[in-house]
Amino acid sequence: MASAAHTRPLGEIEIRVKALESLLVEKGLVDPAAVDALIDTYEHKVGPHNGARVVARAWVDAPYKQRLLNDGTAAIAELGYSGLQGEDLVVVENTPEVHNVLVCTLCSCYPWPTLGLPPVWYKSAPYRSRVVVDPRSVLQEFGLQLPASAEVRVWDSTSEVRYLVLPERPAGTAHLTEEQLAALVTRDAMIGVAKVAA
Amino acid sequence: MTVAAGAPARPDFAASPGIPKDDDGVVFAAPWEAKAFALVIELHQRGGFHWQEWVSALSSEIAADVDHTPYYELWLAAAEKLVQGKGLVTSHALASTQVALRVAQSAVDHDHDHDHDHDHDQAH
Repeated sequence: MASAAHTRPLGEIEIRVKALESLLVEKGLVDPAAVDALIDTYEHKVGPHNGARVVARAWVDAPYKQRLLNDGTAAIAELGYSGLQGEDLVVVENTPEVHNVLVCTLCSCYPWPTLGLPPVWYKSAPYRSRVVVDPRSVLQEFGLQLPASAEVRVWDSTSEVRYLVLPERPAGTAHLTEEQLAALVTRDAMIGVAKVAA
Repeated sequence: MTVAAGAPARPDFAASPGIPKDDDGVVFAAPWEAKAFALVIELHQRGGFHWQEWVSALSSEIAADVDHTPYYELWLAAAEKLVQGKGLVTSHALASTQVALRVAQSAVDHDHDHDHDHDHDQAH
């Protein structure tokens, strides 16, 4: 069912963005070239492939994994990923006993340097409200059936702290290189709504 | 952190819509979304406001939204309010710049319509 918001002519919202932009540029509060560079960065450079490299490194390098769990921000910066929404990042490890899943109940806080910008569903009201109170039913909607014995932990991201899930390394991957492992790691697994499949 | 006070302890799952799924698709659905996004980041990086202030502004828009307004429209509304609240841009300047852009836009539309629709003004 379309609401008034969906049928509003697109021109009007573009005018609002343009008005904001021209005033900020006019006042010297933003640099247009920097704005374009930011768009390019978030469209093309940051994304779940960054997080996948972090996860794969943790799987093959036990000391790195320990550093990652102790201080996520610093360990991730070792691989060259840092920046806005990457500060105070806490990595939570999935095990056969504990399954972690991420949300931001109030808006859309998300670990940008490692996962890029969040998917539509992460920002949706149903996900934000439901995963906190009934994570198992939400995970089932994503096709993830957890054993009754597993504890599910939901981590609510804020402006102060963001989380990243370290998924379990799938069985049968002992022969794979770090790069091959990284290719298996999905965004959804690092949010905690999926497992990594071999 | 806690869920907003007043939120029901347990939502009505039967009435709750399913969670939309998407693939690793486009980051921004339209250029204006990218621009609105980047303006906020750039302004923050240049010291216009603390990130916490931005998160509060965006959270307020999201909390107040009742008709499923698209995410980046809420983002833009939060940005407009925050820059005014911080005194970076006045509401008058914002409104008058929008008016000027609308006038410019309708002049362009007028030009485009002119060759094939001489009666379009009467439609209003």
